Amino acid sequence: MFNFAQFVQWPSTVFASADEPFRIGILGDDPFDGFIDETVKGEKVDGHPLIIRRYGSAEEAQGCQILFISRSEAGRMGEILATLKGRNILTVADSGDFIENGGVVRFVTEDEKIHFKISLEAAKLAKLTISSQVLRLAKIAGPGKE
Amino acid sequence: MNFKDMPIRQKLMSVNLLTSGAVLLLTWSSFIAYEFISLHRNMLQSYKTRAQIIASNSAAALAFQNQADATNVLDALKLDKRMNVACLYDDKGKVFAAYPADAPPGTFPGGPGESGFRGGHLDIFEPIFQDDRRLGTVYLQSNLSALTDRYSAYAWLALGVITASLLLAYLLSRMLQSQISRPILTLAKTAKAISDHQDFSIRAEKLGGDETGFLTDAFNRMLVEIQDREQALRKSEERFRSLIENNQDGIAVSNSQGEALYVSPALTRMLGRPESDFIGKSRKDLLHPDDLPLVTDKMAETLRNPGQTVQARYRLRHQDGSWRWIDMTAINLIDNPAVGGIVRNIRDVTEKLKMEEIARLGEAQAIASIKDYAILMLDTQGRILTWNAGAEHIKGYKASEIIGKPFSVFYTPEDIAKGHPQEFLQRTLQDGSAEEEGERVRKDGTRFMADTVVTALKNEKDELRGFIKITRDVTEIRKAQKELREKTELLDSVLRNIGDGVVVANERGEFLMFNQAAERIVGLGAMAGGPDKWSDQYGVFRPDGTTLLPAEENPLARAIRGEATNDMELFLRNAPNPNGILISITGRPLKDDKGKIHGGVVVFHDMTERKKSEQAIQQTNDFLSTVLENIPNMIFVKDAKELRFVRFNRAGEELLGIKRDELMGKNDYDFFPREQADSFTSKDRTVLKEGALLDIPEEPIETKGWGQRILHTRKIPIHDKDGAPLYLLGISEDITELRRQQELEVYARSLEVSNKELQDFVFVASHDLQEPLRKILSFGEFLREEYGSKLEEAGKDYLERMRAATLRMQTLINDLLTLTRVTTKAKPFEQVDLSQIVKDALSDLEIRIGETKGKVEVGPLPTVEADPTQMRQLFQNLIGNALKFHRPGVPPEIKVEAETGAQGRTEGRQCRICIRDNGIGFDNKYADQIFKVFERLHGRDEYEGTGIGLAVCRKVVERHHGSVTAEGSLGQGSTFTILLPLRQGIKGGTI
Repeated sequence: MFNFAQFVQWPSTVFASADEPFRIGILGDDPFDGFIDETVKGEKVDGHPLIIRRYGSAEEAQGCQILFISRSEAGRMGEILATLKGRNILTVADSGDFIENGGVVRFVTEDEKIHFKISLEAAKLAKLTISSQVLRLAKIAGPGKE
Repeated sequence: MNFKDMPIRQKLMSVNLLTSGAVLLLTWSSFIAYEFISLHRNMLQSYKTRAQIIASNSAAALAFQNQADATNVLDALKLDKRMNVACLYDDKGKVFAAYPADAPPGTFPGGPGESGFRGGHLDIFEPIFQDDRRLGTVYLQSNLSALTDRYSAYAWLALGVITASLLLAYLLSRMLQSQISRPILTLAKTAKAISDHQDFSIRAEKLGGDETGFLTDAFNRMLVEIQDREQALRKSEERFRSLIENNQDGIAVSNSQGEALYVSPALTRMLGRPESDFIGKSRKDLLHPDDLPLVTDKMAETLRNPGQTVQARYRLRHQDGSWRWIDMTAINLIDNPAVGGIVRNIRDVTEKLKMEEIARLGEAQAIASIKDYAILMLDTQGRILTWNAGAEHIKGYKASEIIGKPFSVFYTPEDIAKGHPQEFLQRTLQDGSAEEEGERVRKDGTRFMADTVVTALKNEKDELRGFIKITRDVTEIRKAQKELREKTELLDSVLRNIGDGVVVANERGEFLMFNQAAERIVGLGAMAGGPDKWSDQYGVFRPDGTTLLPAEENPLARAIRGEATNDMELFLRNAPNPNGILISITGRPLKDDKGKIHGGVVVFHDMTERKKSEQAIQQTNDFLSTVLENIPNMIFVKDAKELRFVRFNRAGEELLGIKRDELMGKNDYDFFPREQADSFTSKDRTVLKEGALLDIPEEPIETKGWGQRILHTRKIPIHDKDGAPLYLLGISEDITELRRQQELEVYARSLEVSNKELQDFVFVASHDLQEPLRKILSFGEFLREEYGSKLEEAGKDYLERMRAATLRMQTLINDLLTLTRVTTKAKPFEQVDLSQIVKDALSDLEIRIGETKGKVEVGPLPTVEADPTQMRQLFQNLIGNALKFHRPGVPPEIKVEAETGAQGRTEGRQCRICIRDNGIGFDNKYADQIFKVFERLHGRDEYEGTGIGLAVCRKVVERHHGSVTAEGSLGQGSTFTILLPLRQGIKGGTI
């Protein structure tokens, strides 16, 4: 998830100042069990200090740049993504009908390897530019495609 | 063969090939060195770039741990054949992906290291970053086949180019070297030819304009110069040889022993002996025996003094046995390597000496014919040996008369007595020559001034052989000089003593003269400095005394420039003249005969003194003018020639009524009637002609304002120094009034006489008239007393009338007597108290006062010096009058009052007494008439009286130097006023 922060470009309007923190949000249960906090400690994304936020609802999560939607929220995926629609948020999830409901990056575990699908439509909607290198590694999902 | 000795052609070839070979080698070496470095660098760079591309492309694969993708990226390297192996290390340094994919693990280095060439291949390590995070490292290993391929290509190319270049260089060199070598070879050949044949006329061929060409030119020029020099040297040698051999003078060079080393052909000719007679020999045997010691001496002298010339004249024997006179000049040039001997110049002067002898004779002839100078030879004793025409001309002796006589015959006896001629010769002997000027005597005894020069003549042995005496007649010259000197002295003396300053300067402004007067006036003498300094040095100002005169305006400076100045006024103020003086200065340029200016002269004088005397004259003139103008007599001056007025004073203006402006320049005919003018003019002419004063006691003249006047005129001629008449001076006194006065006095005197006669007559007549009257009265009385009863009434009336008339006659006569007695019976004056007098008079009039019931008031009256009787009569008459002429029915009131002294100075010495009445008065127009004798204003029947009373009053008062006046109006009373002096003896008179 942190790698996405490196390979995705957000619109410049997202940050009011150069030292405003880059927020990675987790909506729902934390599957990383606090491990993620250790990982990002002291890291910076394009000069912005990286911080982890945990949200209980979609409304709360509207101010983050990357939002991981936990498996615990799989049932409400459509509702959550509808709330965040139009926000410049890279939504990430590993469960449910995420792409179908307008999510951007969906992790998929296949053959014990983690792959990801990216919805270019959703990314475009959220005004996010995703590095072609990442796209080369991902499956592209979208209308007309699976 | 040594390089130095190689032919120039080979040298050039070697030089060219070596040079081009070296250049090519160096060029290629550096090129290849550069290529080596740049190829390595390029290769490193190129593979580094490639590594970076791979790093960039594989960043995401590493980040997301996608090994397949990473392997895929590396697989693209297979396109490069030179690529040996490649791999990606992850961030831990472990191989993550490899190329070729099946490469055994040992193929790669243990972990990331340094990029570089090692062991025949190139290692590239390139770190992979995503942002700041290092994700891993790219490793590439390439073989160096790219480099080695290139190197072998370069080696072949170099070999080919160098070979071709050298070949080309060789060919070009062969072709071009001849351009350099040929001229040099040609030059060398020419030089060889010249040195072989010693022929300097050969010239090198010039084959171009470069340095070799220049060298050729220089070489040729050098040849020309060598040729010229050789020629010149040969010519010079020939010339000198020819000079010596053709010289008339013989030249001999000998060694110190006198042995001849060289004799010139001239010498052999001179002595008629062949050259062989001299060479190597000393020919002292040819010398004249007399001259041997001299020549030996001179030879020794020559040897002693190298480089110096020694001269001698001696004789040498000719082959034919004759003696030749020789002038020899020897110079010791033994030390001079070019000569190495004594050089003798030998000249045959035998002929010359002969010629000189002839010339001497000719000279003597010439001397003999000189006329202006007496030129004579004296023997050692002073006896005359020769006599020329000049001597004869000056001294009068003929040669035959004088030769053999001592020269002292020309001296005056006085000089001879003093031993002067001997003394003069003595002086000549002593000094070799002497000159003197003095008086000499001619043959005829006349004397003249002579300038004489005597020179002692000695032979070579210093023995006296005689004297030559040259005399010149300087009488005229001395006379002219004396005159000139006198003239100059006179001029000097004049300029020294002249009162005017004279300063002369030359054209450069240097003073040539500054005479004493100039020094006295200026206060300073001549100073150096020039025209620009004069104003400063001498304090020359403009007449205003403050503006320094500009140098160019200085009259002397202007004179030097050729300008004349006349009577310019200048102001001088300097240390000796602190108050300054005014000078008048005149300047003139000085010109020579041709009109060229060679200086200037100024003449000036001090005007201050002149101004003072002019002022003094002016003052005198002013004084005289003032006198003239204020004299009450008419003064006029006419010019002697036309008798026109030139001067006229104020008194004249007033008298004639003509302004002087109208009068000036005119004559008498312009102002006076013709007769008068004729008269004046003729008198003027007489005065001027006779030159004596003319007194005209009386002379009538017609004036404008005063009619005809009588003048007493004096006419005086004024002459110049030579007695010629200049002016006529006239002084006229107006004596018209004087004449009138004199006439009046005569008349008055005759009047007095007739008056006296009249008084006498009146007195006598009155006296004598009394007698018949008294008789008439007496007999009338008798007639009335004795025959009155017999007369009828008419008779009685007649008688009574006759008696009344007679009485009136008697009164009249008495009154007249009284009147005359005022003067004839006058008493001396004494102090009279007028109050008493009036009181007495009133007592006399008491009856009349009683009759008329009149009243008389008398105020206090003064005491005066007077005749008391006449005073009493005066008051009695006046008061009586007042009583008499009272108005009918009105009693008279009379006041007598006096005023004294209170009204001013004049009256202080007089008293005024008024007698006022209230009577009938009179018409004031008769105020004067009433005082005349027998004048009455009223008929006898109205008021009695003779009409003499007031006349008496006036006479009395006049006798007392007083006056009496009457004032009145009809019916208003009248007032009589008497003015009397308090003291007599002071002529008070009427006011």
